[in-house]
Amino acid sequence: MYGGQLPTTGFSGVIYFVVGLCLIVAAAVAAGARWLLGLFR
Amino acid sequence: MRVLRVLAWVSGLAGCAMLLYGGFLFWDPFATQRQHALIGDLYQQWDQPSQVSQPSEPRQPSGCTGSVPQVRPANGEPFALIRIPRFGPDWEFTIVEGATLAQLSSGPGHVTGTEFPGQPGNFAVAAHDVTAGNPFLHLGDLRPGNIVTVTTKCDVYRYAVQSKQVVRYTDIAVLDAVPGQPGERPRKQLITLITCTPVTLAFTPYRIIVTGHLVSVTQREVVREG
Repeated sequence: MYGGQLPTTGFSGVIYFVVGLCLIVAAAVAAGARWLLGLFR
Repeated sequence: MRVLRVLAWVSGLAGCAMLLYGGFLFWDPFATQRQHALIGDLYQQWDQPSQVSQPSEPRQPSGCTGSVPQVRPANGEPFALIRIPRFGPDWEFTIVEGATLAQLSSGPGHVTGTEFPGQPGNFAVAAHDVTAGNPFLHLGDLRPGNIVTVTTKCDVYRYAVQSKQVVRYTDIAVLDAVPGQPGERPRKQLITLITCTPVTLAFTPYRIIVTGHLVSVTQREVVREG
């Protein structure tokens, strides 16, 4: 019955929040790297 | 430099899109419409005469011949209504067959393999605490004595809450016909309500379990318009 577990009733869309936040962090890192490279040119 | 600029823009936009989509799923603005549609389907289904009848059992105007569904509902098919007066006079959801994430996206679901209302044993219903209309968001607020009403095509079952506990998601003994006593022959008619706890966006290994016992069964009043 459900793989020996009680039904999962949590929010299944949490993966979108996690991936979204990771992408925004990646964007911030890329922008920061670009700014740093600009400083030393 | 150009690569970094493109990467920053693409990642930023994709990240924002993901967050917005996650927010849309969490908000779930069409949950009420889906519930209204399911309730409409259920009443339509109840208005149709039973396909299988047993002449020895008394007939109701609706064509009812018994309380237990004569044919097991298909996965995702609504077959009952649940009302919990403590959650408000308008709190009403359909119960669909099955309790996978796909089925729970429309509302509370009957845990397949457990009994149906009217059968001795344990009728288990799971639902989301958030999303899908937040059906069991306040499940933890139920107290002993609170009433849970389940309406099927033929009957109205009133259960009284008797206990509440928090278990791990692997503790499936709560689904036994006699909870915690596998193989025991059931004498009582129980209801078990299940949702995740605490309320969180992330996975939680804990489930809140509310158990009640049947206190009365009455025939469903069939109201026909016109």
